[in-house]
Amino acid sequence: MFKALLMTRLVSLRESIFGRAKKRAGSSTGKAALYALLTLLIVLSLFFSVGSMFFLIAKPLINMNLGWLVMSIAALMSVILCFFGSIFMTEKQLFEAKDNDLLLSMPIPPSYILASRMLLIVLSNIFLSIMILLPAFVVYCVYVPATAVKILFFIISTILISLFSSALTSACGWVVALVASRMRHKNLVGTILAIAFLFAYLYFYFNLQNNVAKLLANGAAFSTALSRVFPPAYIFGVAVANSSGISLAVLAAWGIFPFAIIYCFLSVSFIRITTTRLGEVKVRYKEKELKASSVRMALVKKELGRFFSLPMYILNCSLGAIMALVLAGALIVKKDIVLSAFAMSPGTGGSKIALIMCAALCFMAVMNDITAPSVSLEGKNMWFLKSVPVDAADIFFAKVAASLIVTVPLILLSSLIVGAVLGVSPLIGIFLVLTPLAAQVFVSLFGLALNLKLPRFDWLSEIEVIKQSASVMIALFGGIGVVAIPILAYIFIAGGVPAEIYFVICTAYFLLLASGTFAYLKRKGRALFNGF
Amino acid sequence: MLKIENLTKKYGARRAVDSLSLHIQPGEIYGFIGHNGAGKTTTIKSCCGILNFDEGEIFVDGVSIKSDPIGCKKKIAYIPDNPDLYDFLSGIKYLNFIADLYSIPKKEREERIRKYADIFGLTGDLGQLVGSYSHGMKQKLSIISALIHEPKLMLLDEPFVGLDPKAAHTLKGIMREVCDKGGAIFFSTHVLEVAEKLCDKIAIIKNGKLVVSGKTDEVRGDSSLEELFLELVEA
Repeated sequence: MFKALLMTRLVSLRESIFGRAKKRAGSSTGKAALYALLTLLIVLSLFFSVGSMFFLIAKPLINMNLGWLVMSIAALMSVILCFFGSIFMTEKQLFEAKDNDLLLSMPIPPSYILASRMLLIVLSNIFLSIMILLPAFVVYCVYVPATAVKILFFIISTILISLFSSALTSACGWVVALVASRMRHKNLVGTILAIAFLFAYLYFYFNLQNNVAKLLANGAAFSTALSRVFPPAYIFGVAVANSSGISLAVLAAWGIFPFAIIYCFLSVSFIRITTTRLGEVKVRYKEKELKASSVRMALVKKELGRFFSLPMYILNCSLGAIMALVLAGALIVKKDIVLSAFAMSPGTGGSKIALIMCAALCFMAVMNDITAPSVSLEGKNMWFLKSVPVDAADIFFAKVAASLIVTVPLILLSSLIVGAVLGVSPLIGIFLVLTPLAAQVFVSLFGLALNLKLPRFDWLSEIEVIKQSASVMIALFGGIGVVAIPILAYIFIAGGVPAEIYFVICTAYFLLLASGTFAYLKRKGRALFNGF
Repeated sequence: MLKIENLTKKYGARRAVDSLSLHIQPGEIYGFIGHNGAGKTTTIKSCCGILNFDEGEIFVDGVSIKSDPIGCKKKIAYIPDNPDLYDFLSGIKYLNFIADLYSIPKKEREERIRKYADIFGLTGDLGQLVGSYSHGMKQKLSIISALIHEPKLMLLDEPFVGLDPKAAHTLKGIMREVCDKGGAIFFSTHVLEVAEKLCDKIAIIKNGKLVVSGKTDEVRGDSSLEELFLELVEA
């Protein structure tokens, strides 16, 4: 019984990432190869990004005889990534899955349902942890030779630290579910919590970047503090670096006991939390004057209604717009620190700084992939859109427009602030605004086209399509790749081109891509939609 | 009002609906009966443009659903067998949204929402999120939303499921009212007593093929509809 439950979860996870088996069988080898290549590219770029950070700190720390601290920092980062990356997924998977009622009505012990879901969370956290721990371990092994025992200790420790992360996220997911179930404005509470977690994550990330030098200067003091404040990360580092059996046993205790305690605790309250609806106080409707809207506006309002009703949607798919605003705010408050974080001194030429900041804003713009899960999110409501007298073009318009309504004001404001703080010329100022906006228009169209090509309607929790679906992943990393091309071209080929001209080229590049995607949607979109 | 001609819909090699033809005249309530998986929902979904079909034609008030789907959908109201509505909207926002999509003037929409929400006893709940509604309440909301644009043709898939006896009675009255005004209703049901009493005509489908159709009294003959249905299905 438990195996069947777990298999159902795994199949659901696999299908949300790779699509349905039936569809895959029909797809060409070329497409499959392209998909595999893209996945490999995404994983490698993530590994490269994390690995390059560890290259900065590994050698000095190993020279200071604090090699284990490299792995401890990696463990700390992985726990934080798992925490912020999966807390809302945990809440949705454990307590708000759409099949809770069905499963609870069957002769299945609630503890089995919970266990199957918690194991899925463990698997997700192992995956997230590997994203940090593996590149860190590879970098560590560049300086300290890897042995079979060390590798074995690393694998076991990775699983144990992921267990610890899962216990932490499950406990916090429980708190979020409990708070939300007692609130009338459940979605508002969820959204505020989601944004608070996001800001906490950004604060941690920026501080980590800024404090690398301090960390290296005070390695010994930091290691002592870490062992006291966050023992699991400290023990992880010692277990891996020294292949210490005792440390591994202590880490096992840190991983297994909290997980077991949380599991026992949640299995007792599982039914109560999943069935509590205290916040839904019945308020009698009083007739009000209704506002009429055009078809397109009505569809846009519906899209916005869905977006703001799902904290996870906001957190995952408009992350870039929020980060852009944080960047602009940071630039106002601490200009010198922000510019140094982007490897620029305050005295560097204005147009070049503007180019670099524009690249950052473009990266943030393409992270706003609101349209990428928007078709899949129709789910069981798809019958509705297909039965009303609305053209597919209007539906597409609404999805793209809602995405732009959410993101454009934030990107625009951030660009204006960046331009004003940097004191750029009016011409560069205009392109500093236009280029990220063109990137945003492109990714909105691109996300929609991808989701029309790779939809998934049989999800049980929105998280399956918002976080784990192929269209979202390709939109996000494809978008980042699209922004990386002109940046790499500037670094390696076009460094001599005046900034003003390069701005024009970049804007034209994004507009061209957007036009191409728009043409594709116009040509194929309706047929794809009608085929659902 | 609804002309289905040689409709064929395949799922892979299987013919879910096989050369089905039916004509529904204005003023008629037409019942559609069949065993589970007979092809009722597929036929209804094809009629309202949700499903593409492989062969045949469907005309709504003389307009082809293939060549002018939007034009057809303006005349149709569809109620699915399972009311999966937008959970994140409140009842009133959902109804207003529907009115927007059918471009119903402000005054008319307010009057119709008031009228039907009162009839179905849903007015007090219109401020709640649809996600908090029971199955029956969602079904009522779905029915109200189908009536907002005064459709010429109503396509209903198991419309009585989940409704309380009073709401079911009210719906029957409304169905008759729609047809008396020149509209037509094509609906599927498993409740043979309802079909027997309510329908002017009925059609029985088995494994995607039309077995019998015509005026209820003529189709039934001397036996009850239940007896006839069992006889045809088990044959």
